[in-house]
Amino acid sequence: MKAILKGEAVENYIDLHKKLKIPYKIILSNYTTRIMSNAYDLHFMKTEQSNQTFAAFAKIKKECLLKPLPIIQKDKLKYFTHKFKSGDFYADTIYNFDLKSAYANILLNDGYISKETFLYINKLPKLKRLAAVGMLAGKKNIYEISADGKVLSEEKIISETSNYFFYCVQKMAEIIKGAADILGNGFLFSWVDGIYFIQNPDKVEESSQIIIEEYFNKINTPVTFEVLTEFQITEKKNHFKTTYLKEGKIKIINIAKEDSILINKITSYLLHN
Amino acid sequence: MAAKKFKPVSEKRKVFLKTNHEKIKPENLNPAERNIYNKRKAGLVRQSTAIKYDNGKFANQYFINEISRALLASKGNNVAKIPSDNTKKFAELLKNADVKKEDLKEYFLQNKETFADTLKNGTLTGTSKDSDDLETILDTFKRKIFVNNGNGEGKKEVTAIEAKMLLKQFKQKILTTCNAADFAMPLKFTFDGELILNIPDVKILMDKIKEKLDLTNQKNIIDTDPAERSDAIENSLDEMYENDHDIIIYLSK
Repeated sequence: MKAILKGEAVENYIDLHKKLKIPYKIILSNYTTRIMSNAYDLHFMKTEQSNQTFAAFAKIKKECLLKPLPIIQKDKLKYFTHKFKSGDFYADTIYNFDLKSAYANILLNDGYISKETFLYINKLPKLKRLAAVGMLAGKKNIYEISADGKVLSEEKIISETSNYFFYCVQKMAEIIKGAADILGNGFLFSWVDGIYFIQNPDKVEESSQIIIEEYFNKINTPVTFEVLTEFQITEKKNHFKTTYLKEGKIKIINIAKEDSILINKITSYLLHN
Repeated sequence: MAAKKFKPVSEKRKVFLKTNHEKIKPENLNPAERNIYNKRKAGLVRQSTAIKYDNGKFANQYFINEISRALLASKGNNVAKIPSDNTKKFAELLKNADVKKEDLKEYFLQNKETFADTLKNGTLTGTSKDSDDLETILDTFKRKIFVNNGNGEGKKEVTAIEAKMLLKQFKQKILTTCNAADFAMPLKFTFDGELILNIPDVKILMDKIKEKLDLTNQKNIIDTDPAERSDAIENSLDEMYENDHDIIIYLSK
């Protein structure tokens, strides 16, 4: 039985199994749940993926697998960077470049997919496009639950194509770093496929926007440019909360603080010993 | 020949020795008195170099060893694999690195803020880790794990698998209901190396978020204004954990 993963449906069925003392298996991914027992076999998903999304993924996967699997150090992957200092910060205006179809472009530029597949992906609406590429890193965790509710075991199923996805993450971080290095003290932060900055105060005679645009053109990375207003950084205990206005709407990005070397050393010891 | 026995030191004399310690020349004392003098001297040294909590109590040796570890590491020593209770090894390394007790105390005082949580609550709050990193950590974590799910009942011991399942369920809930992309939370350790994680009970969290957004149905949360949604999530977590949750929610762009 298939259902949409909204509301309390999953919790209700888990409760049901607990109260009736029925052992079950639960298979969890980010957007889907399956509950399997002697009584039920239920699929819950956020939205039904379209055939086009699956078709796009199938094309991407087929072509990627023709290339050797990249070797990735997962613990070194960074999804964001910042140069925030302690305390709050405000700027009337900041600038933003977002990489367009970032992961798909990387796969194309680095020879993992063909132009034909790239164009096919790009015909999809943004969320479906992201889902198609995201499926490369699909992961499921299967938990076995006893009649009295104890979690007995776990099995992980990680997609064989995960490293192609993480390659895109790694490459994007390199691209963003390249831009950040050029921006110098104008760089504020990066978040996934976006870079946020102000005019470099050390090079006021050169437009940071133009320089970065040239950089992205040179590395064949299409971008969109936005002017964002009322940019505010508020320092919290473990993160910085950034807010800004984009086309009149408030956007929020929370960014974790980097840790002190002292704490890193201690926690690293406690984790590995 | 039998050792010469000295008269026991009177209480009055002991007080004198203690009070006038700085003026006394130890070579003029008999062995019994010199013994008292030396003990007093050692005690004073210990006092001046002792690392203490704000309540005046001496820090325990485990804690001191962790400060030693950090200081030694900052000087380029690889101390990652030394167990926290190997005081002898730390003492040897500190000596080799020419680090005196006063230096260690100074280092502690300079970094006292960093240790503030440890002093106050007996825990060390460290690096924020995103969901994938947390799962990787729990795959190999061997010590005890406690989860506080914000239901007011405090922390409960769980297995690593149980903790992973709770994290997975929490992640799925905020991704599908709140349009989050991921979350992060700091690792919190006790002195015994036990891990404490705040993993919210998803039912309680959703009920609170709905209440704050004035909704009757969970499925409408995703359609709310992102700023209001973010505040509702934040305030709900604050309520569940008495303003001490440390969970970072990454909303989708």
